[in-house]
Amino acid sequence: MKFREDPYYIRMILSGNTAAYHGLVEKHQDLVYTIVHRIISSAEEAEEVAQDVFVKAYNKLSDYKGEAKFSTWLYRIAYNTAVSHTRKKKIEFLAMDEEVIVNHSEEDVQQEVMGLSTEEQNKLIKKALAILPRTDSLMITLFYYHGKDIEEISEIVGLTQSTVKVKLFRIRKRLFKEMNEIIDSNINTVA
Amino acid sequence: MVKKDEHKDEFLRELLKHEGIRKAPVGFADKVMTAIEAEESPVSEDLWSWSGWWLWASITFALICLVIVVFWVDFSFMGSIFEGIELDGSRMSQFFSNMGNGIVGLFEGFSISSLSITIVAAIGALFIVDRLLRRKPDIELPII
Repeated sequence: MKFREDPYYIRMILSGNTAAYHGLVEKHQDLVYTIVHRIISSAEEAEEVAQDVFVKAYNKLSDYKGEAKFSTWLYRIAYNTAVSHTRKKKIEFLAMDEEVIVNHSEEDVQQEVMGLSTEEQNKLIKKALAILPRTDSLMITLFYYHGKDIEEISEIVGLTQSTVKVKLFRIRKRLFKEMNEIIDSNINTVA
Repeated sequence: MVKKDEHKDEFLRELLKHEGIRKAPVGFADKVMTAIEAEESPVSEDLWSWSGWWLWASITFALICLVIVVFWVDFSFMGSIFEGIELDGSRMSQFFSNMGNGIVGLFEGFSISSLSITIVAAIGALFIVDRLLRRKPDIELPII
């Protein structure tokens, strides 16, 4: 499906065409849902919270000044809404434990992963991401999969760019460590 | 070192291709729009606010009172109620009686018949009932 540029929809909505928001929702729904689902593991809750995100964004649309990209503004709302939902529900929000960053050969892990089948690689990365703290899992997918740069990620998660850089470095290290452990414990028992 | 890091980044990028994005559930956008529409029905909310329900109810009440006062009330009874009461040398009974007759006279002076007033009041009441029962703000009002 081909979508128009965000400002087109925003202009329509602000001039009273509520239905135009449908297009904007369809355009961004997958990434908003992904962000929320990374932080809230339950699919049902993630759907509900993602809906809240779009309703909130709609209500605040007149406040959007266009200083940041609309998508960044929207993903920031998604991130904040999901995080405050986890706080309300008192879902454990693990912080990165410095102790887990141990030395292991990332090159070896890389070699081993490349020797796996695609299906095994899928299982491996799923499992490794699930072990990571939720915000870390989100940051790494925003960076590596969605191609968001440090600046945009820092705007979404509300951290400084240097903090995001350091965090990404540590998360990557942790990801390799987790993959190494999963491989060691036999990937086929992991699925 | 930088090259090594780039290589690792590329490796993770490839690996995450499999995980990547989660598709929003089917009908997600429709559900969002339903939620927005439900939140947006200001008529049902205004209905119970001063600017909504109470305003229209007050207007209806005022219209009914006006019709009753102008066409069905005989103000001569005012004289008997305030009989004997005086204020600054003026008889109150006379004062209220004159005031009532003055209101009636005002409408009679314009030669507005009771039938005309009743028709206007009925149209007004229909319009008000429509406002009160209307749930959706975007429904067109019937042309009266």
